[in-house]
Amino acid sequence: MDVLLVDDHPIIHETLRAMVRSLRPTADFHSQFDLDAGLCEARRLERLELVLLDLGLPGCSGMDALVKFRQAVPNARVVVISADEDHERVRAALSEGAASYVPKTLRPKAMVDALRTILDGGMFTPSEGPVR
Amino acid sequence: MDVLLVDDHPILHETLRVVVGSVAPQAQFHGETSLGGGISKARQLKDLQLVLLDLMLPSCTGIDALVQFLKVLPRLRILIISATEDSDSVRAALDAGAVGYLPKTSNPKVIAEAVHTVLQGGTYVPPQALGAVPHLKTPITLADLGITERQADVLKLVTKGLSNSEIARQLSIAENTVKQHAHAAYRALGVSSRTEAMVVLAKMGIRGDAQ
Repeated sequence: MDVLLVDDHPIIHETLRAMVRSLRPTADFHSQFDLDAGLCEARRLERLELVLLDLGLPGCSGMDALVKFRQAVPNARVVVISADEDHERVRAALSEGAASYVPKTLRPKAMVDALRTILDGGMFTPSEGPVR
Repeated sequence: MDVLLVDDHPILHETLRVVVGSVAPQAQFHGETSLGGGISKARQLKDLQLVLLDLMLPSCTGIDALVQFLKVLPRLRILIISATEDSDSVRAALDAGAVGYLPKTSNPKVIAEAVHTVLQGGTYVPPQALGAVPHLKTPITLADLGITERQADVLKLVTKGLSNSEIARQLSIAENTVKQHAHAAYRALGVSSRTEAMVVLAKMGIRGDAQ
């Protein structure tokens, strides 16, 4: 399985790579730091199942990045990872087809639990936590 | 030795702990996710050498967090980590007393380098900030600019963040003399403040602790 993280802060990549790999040791974890490179990589990956997407990428506003990824790789689940926990934003992301919404303010254990839920096929959103 | 990170994204704490550990294995790393928690912790720590501070904490904007920290603990060495990286923000932070500024887009290697620099007593200025300063032809030394050895001594201590009275003590000269040397050096560099001097020296590749 391929997992792609698109976020412009390299330090996030280290932590999320370690977390994803600890939950799915056989997963191939890919890193990109801007929208265009992310879309390019997403189209290229043959076993892409999951995109972890930061909505705050430079040059992107609102749900642009999410919409573009959903169009580029409709068979992959796109999970929003965001510093913004605003309810409206969460709602907007989910209605644009985000498979889950993971706030960057989660403590590491909660972050791992959220990723575990998502990798197991479930859904995670900030207010309710895992959704069954 | 204690190092404190104040950032409201706990996910960053893990990686930064490892990064700091790679350049300062002896350091005890502490993490707080709020300004109040950070200041409280800073007061408790016995040997706090460095604070890594995110400017985007929920309770305050801009350099407020930095200003509040320094009000309570004026001698604290604070390295800003921030999602904003424009040169105005960098200058504002350095002017307010930060010893360095790290954009969050920096890769772990650059972060390690910055932490190492400030733990050695230097100042870290990101390349993004240097665009605001007039270009100098390289290579060039302080002597080329007509800066005397004594003025250079004072200048280097200024960029290490020492106050005029601390410099006076260290060089065994009067505080007024320190001021005169500093101002003469600023004139020669074509700058008018301590912060601008730091940026120019960084561009010239001269660190506060270099010979």
